[in-house]
Amino acid sequence: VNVLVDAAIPDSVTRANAAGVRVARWTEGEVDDEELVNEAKRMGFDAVVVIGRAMLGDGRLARAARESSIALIATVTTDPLEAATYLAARLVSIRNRVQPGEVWLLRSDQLEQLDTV
Amino acid sequence: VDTGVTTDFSLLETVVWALSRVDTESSDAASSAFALVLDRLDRTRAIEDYDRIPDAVGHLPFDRLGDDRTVIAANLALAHDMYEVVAPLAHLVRAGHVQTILLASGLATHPGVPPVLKDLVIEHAEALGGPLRDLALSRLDPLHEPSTPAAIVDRGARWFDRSNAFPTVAPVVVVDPSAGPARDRWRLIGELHSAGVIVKRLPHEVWQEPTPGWLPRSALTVTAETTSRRGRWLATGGSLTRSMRRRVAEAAFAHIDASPFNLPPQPIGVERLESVATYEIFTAGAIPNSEVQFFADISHSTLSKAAKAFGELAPRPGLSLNYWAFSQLVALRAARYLARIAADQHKRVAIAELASEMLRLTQEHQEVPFGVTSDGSVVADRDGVLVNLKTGQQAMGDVVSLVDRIYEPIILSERTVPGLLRPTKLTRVHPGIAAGLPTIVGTRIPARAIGAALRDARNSKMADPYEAVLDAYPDLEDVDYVRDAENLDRRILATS
Repeated sequence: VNVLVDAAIPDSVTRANAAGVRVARWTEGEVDDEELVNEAKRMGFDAVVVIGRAMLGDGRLARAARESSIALIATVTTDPLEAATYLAARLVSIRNRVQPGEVWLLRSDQLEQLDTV
Repeated sequence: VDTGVTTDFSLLETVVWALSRVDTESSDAASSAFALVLDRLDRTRAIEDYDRIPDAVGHLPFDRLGDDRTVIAANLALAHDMYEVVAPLAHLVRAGHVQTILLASGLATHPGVPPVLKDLVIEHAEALGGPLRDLALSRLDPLHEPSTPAAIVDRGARWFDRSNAFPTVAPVVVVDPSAGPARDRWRLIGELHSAGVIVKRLPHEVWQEPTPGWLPRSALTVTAETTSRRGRWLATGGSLTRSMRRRVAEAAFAHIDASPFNLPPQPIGVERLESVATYEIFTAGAIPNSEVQFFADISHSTLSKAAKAFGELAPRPGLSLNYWAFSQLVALRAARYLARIAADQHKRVAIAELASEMLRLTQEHQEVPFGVTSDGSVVADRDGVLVNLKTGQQAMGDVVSLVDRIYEPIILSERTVPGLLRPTKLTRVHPGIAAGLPTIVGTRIPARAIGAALRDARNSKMADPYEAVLDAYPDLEDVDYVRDAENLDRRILATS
């Protein structure tokens, strides 16, 4: 599973290890939210991780993810260090549970799928 | 035929010169002459020529009904997007000139042409009746089912994926005409033309459809979808650079044989906000209370009142009220500003109510200047008439202030509120980036993430917190970015 994390999350997250999971961080500069998803799809990623549930607020990102058949995961925390920590701890769950086009919330202790955004 | 074309004579000027000398008694010779001129224009067209079009077209001689020059000029417009011919063409359509009605029906679906021409064609096509009516309507609407062989062939030549007759050699770019200054659209189209692209306009009927069924899979659409049901933005702001326009053309060529192609495949609207010379529509974004309070300089209780006053345009249904669209933030900021000016006139204005009115203005597709009159009434400029927003009546007082720089730094209650688009030297706000949070320029990193990372570094007793943040975000070039983001983060925290 190839996971792209948004630029808001520290680079240390790319050193997180889990069998069958590769994590990369967006460093390609200033693109809008939909472009991020489209680019991730084009680059072969299976999931995009963004920071804060506000990123799901206007529905554009979730819609783009569904249309691109790429999974979208938003961390509940807006603290970048916490987000990196929680993500590193849930990589196996992401590999096993997350499917293309789905939208998930990453909490401190669990991964929760959202039916509607 | 001698058209008088010389190398040091602008092609456009040549066209105008030749049009003015057409002998309407010898239309065959005239047609041959213009075929040569148009062929030359086709082969050598350059963006510099397009720049001259507005002035040149103003001299085109539309003086006689049924004149061959009308047909030639309209064809010229069709071939080269000279939309300035719309006004004289509309005049001839109104006069019921059959050939002009048919020509105008083809032109009316081009990008940049005011919808009024289409309405006129529809009105007068009805009077034509029979096959001519069918032909005109087929040209106007890709969904119209033609009943005559001529109309079927014509529609196939004009609308993609209809009768499979549309040329497949040149790439197709569809331009959404719902917003954006006509001249900017026209410049974009000119560049696309010069790159060899076929440009089509998205008809009004299908604005609401994200992917109209009649679009070919490989068509590139220049548009940026918003959450508003009112349509989409044309992604051509005044700041759209020449290289970005080229990028559209390159993308079109790159996908000429592509299979499924999602809209918008190549969003180019990121730079749009940099040129807010006009009042724009921004319904994207999910901005938290803290940022809204900071940029609009209003209290939490006023925010709660505004959420109720916004009614149907209230913050996102199904989500916490903590998230606001960019247009709502703009409305609140404008309302706060006007309320301060009204207070100077010894008149109290309820910010939440006023913001609700402002919000409705942000839903419109054009610039709507608004301000406060000397008696404290809040007014909007509607076609040159100042209308009282509360009563809907024409305002009588003198306007003491019209807001035209709502995005710039402004003084509100006791402090200068930073600019909305560039709150600090190294941060920016765009509703489409990080849901509208202020981010560091050139990146997708929210300023507040940097603030939080710095606090984490300090809490962890890092020797140099700034270096630690630079290590965590290697795409930041130097510590100036960190300090600038930290400064903004502190100010937002202090406000909320």
